[in-house]
Amino acid sequence: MKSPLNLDARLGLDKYNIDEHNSHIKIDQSCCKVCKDQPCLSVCPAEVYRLIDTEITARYENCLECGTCQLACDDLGQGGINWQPPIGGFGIIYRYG
Amino acid sequence: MGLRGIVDKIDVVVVGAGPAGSVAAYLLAKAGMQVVVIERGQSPGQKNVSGGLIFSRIYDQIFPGFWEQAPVERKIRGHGMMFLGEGASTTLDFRDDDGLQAPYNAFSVLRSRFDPWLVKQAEDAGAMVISGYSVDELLQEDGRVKGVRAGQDELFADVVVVAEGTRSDLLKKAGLREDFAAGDVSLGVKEIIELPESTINDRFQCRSGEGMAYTTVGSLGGVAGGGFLYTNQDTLSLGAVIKIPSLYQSGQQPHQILDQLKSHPSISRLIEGGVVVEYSAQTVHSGGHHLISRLYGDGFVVAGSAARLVLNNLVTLRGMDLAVASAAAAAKAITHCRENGNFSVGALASYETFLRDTAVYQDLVTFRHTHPILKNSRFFEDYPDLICGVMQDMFSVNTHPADKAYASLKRNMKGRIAMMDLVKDLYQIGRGLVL
Repeated sequence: MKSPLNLDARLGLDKYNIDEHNSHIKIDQSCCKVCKDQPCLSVCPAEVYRLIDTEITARYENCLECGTCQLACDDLGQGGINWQPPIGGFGIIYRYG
Repeated sequence: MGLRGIVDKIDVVVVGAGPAGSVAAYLLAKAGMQVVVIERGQSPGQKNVSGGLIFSRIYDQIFPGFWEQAPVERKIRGHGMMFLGEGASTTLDFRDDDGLQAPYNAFSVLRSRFDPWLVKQAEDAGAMVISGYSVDELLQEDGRVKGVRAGQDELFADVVVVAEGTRSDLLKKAGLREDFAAGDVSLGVKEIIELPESTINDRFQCRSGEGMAYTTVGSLGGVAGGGFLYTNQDTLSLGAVIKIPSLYQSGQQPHQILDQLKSHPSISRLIEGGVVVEYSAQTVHSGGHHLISRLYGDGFVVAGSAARLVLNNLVTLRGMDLAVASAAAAAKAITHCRENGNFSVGALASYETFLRDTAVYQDLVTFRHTHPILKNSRFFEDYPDLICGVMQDMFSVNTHPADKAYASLKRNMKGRIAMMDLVKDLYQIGRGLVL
């Protein structure tokens, strides 16, 4: 069998209208620093969140807008993520849905 | 067109152009009200994802014979449940040509194609649709919702229909709903896999225009959840729906779990040679009667997934028909309120009364004991293997003597499942689904 598509290849299939100037994801690092579990790092289907040095970063341009990170962060993490929908018209554009 | 230039105060603002929002807008516009729908996608449908199955009869009541015009994929001829064990599978495969007679039971749809058709019906009925605008907040005054703000623009209305989908952010921000626990929400990850129409027909034993809908249990790396595989015209919708805490505890990433489903021998044969053309994700409420959240308040009503109106009874996962039923009940309530010139919380309470009269609400009550099954790890970790193990014994002819089914069951359970747990779980299924 063919090897499965890796995540970047999958995200490469999707269409986005990226807001180059604004991230719709705000991160409060002070919460993340005391967050032992950091669920955002594993639950996001687009691996938007990454730990770089000691900071949680968001590759917001890859966001699939599912809302999992917010729920996981509020409930299982320390509430450092503030996810708002991208400004109208920006973000993921599903062609099939 | 933006919000500017619209008169300051209208009858109804609808937030979100999914099935709930579009149907509410359609019915209210048809009743003669001034309705504005605000949708955050640049064009409607672009943000909307679901497994892709609609149960049609409620749609048929509102849009008779809708399948003649609406972009549906295939009418569903049969449903199946696949228990995916280690290297083996057992499938319950129900096919019924009655499903191919109008009014059809279900259709597969692709939401980015289907939802624009729905919102067009609202538009044709006189609703104004403004897309590419995110509503930032509900405007409140003295505890009453008076309208919405999108960017710099404010729009006031007698009533706001909140139909913004699963996340339901506006109500949360406005302090108008309880918090949703992560344990009551699942993440759905899905791929659209392109295959020639004739290949899909052959593999699923369907003619063109007819399709199958499978749910799967097992082969998700032990996480709590299930899978689905639906046939579209020349694509398949394959996805995994995973409880968020279980996903987190597993340490696996969502796409890795989807890969495990895809690599199961009984799934991989069905999708072989297919080309993935889209990868999507959406949260979905676990659903159930006990999770229905706030339906109305002073100056607003909540319809569809935003009110956690979802029903999963193991056999079917329903959301889009509940969205439409709740939208219709809300529209009826708003129409009454308008006749009486009263949009207070007391007057809008009639929404809940009308909703309770619907068949979908009755279904939520009927299946109110199903949800514990969805949290029982034996169902997705152990039982698929157990079923396949017993099947293997039943169908294998060996050089050693065979057992009857009960002996085989006991041997397959040994060290994994206690007989008492099996009895308890059978009771749970019985209570939830059978009696």
